[in-house]
Amino acid sequence: METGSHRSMDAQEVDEAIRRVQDGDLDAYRQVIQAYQRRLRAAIAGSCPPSVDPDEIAHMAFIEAYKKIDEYELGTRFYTWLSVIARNLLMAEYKKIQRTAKNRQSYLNHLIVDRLTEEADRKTAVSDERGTALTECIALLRDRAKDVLRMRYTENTRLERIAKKIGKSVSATKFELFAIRKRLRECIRKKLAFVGG
Amino acid sequence: MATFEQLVGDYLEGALDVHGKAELADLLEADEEKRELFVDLYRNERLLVAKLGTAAADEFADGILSELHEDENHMIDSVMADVRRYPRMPRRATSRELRGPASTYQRRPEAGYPARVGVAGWGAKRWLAAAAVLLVAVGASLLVPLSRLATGVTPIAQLATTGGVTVHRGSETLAGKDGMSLAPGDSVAVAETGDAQIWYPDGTRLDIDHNSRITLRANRRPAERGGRVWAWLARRTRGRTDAGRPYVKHVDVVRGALLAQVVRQPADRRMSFSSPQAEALVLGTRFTMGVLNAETRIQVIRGKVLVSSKATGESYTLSDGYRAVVGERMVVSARPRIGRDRSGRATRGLQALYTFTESAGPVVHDLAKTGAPLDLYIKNVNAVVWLPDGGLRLRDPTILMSRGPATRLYDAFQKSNALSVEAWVRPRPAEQGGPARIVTFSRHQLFCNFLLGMDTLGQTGPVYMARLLSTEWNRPERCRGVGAGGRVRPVRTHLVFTRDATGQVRLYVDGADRLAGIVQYAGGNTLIPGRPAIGGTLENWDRELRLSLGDQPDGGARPWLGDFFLVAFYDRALAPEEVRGNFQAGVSVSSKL
Repeated sequence: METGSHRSMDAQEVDEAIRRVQDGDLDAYRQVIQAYQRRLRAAIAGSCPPSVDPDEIAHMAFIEAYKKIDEYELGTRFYTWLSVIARNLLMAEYKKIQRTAKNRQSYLNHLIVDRLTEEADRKTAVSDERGTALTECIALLRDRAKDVLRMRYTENTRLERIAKKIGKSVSATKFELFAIRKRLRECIRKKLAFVGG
Repeated sequence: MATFEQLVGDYLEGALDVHGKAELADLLEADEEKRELFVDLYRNERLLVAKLGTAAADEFADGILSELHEDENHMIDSVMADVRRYPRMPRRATSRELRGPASTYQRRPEAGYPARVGVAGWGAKRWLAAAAVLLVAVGASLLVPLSRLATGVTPIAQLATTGGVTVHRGSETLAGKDGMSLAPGDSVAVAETGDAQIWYPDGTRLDIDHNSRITLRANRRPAERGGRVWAWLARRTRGRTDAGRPYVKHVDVVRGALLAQVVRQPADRRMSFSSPQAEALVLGTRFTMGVLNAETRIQVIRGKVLVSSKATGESYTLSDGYRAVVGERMVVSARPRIGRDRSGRATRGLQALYTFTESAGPVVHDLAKTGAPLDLYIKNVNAVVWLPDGGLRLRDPTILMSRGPATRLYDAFQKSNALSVEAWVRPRPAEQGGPARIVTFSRHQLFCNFLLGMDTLGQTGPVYMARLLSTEWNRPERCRGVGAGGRVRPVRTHLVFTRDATGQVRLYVDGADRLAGIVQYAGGNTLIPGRPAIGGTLENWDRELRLSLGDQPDGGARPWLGDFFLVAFYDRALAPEEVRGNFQAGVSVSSKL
């Protein structure tokens, strides 16, 4: 179970925390959030439309889940229930974007949202399959590529600075980053195809 | 011409301009494979940021918990304030009050008048006191069995009080004492100055309001009682023997109000409450029940309550945020999670009001019904989110602005030489400055009639502040600024800036005047402690300015990010008690202004 920096909780412990929440112990909800937040945030990120913050959706999903916590039946899968709520929130965001005028500037947003909607229509919950595949694919990259990803995403280093560190021009660094993204994309596609069937 | 890879790379880096996006759109439109690649790369990019970024897990959980705690506290406060507001009523026939089942201790005829319930005593101190009592009472109830009463009857609950409580037991009238055991049939009356919590051994707790009276019951034979609720219980328990079966908690609310926090009960032993008009059945929940004005009002804060009307037999299941008013007939109404619909808000002098309850669209409507509506238009609808329970979130910089100059506001303020600016907001994040514009009536960042915003002001963190132009501070390039004490927190906050005709200014945060000093510019805005005034008149204001929320009207200069729940303008300085009233009213507003 995903826990971030916190000790892993098993399903029983999570259910026990939820039971306490249902009995009115609001602070027990912290354990529930800590148990699932990383997994949910990653799952949402892979399906999040442009200009929407995945953390906002995750935040709202946890709030919604809390409001309806009495409807949750202990012993069933809380994460699945939570991810259905998240999926519905995302669908609302998709619809909002689709309602806006389809001009040239928003074509990219519409394209992304149309594809995300197609996938969401086939599923009842947000899925973290893509996130899991990405983690596995990153592990398969060469060290240099991993370093570039770390600098770009973990350390949030500017491209110019990355270029200087790896001894390349900015333009060449852009292409290298693009090549890494493409490699990851191919790897993820293969893994998802394998998962799918 | 840029290559497809360059364009996509720049898009993912957030560095693609409008022309680049159009160029990329052309390439994508012509090639399905490129479209697939583009969408895949976009999704992976979001995942990479989420997976490899340094997400602050604790901060994320803190934010949610803080919001839930805040909502819950606001909810309880507003609900209890709502219940307490009903006025003193003439005497009601006692026969209805006496209607009820036989019990071990027959209650004496109730001769009291349903009285107005006191206002004081439900604040933070009381909750702290209750929390302290919780430790004692729960400890006592779990570790030490409730002591048997002299009559030989087994007690079912324990009283926690600091005084002002009377317990009626049969023909006896006893002074309620802290730790006193309570038995079935005991009637607990709380005086104007008293306080009482009743604790059951399982942790279920009743907070009894001032000028209230309740009677405790413990039933083993639900079928003996009338009403649909008890018929339902009887069906659930049919065929079972009473021997050894735990009692079912029941409370008669004779008058006044209570807040019930019911620990989840077994399905066949649901706790129930009854009043002269209604019955309520709960499994585990938190709700209030008040008997006033020949009506019973039930407001569910969390969980579900099955409510039945004794007169009509109608029944409804109420869930979070719903309430029922049961009198001659039952009325069930949805209401916002926070606030109340019988508004305690000040209405005199109201010039413009925005409640952000539109749920969709690019316009925030002025609901003040004072002259021509001064509607606000959202410049970039993609930068905002309408919140499900009401409110508008500015998640990216944008501006809400009137179509033309806000001359109606200008004229009203000129006439009175006074004003109040009110806002219910939640800054997201708490660290914003500039000052970040929450509400402003200005031309650009250096000229304003007034503004309400937040800035660091040389403090350890941002504080709320306001600026106002007057003839006393006749420097149109920069308004006179004042700041509030206390750091901005990323929680729902009530702000009111007032200036009366004599120049006295106040800056209220959550109902309390927190004005801490004047803002002076010395290489940066700095808060100089003191109690400033902004005298003179407002004659030097500019009549041609627009009203703006979220940024300067010239856009992008001083954006504020966060949630708006309510913004209002008055052409007078609200009195401190009116500010407190608006704060207690929460973010909802009566439809009858």
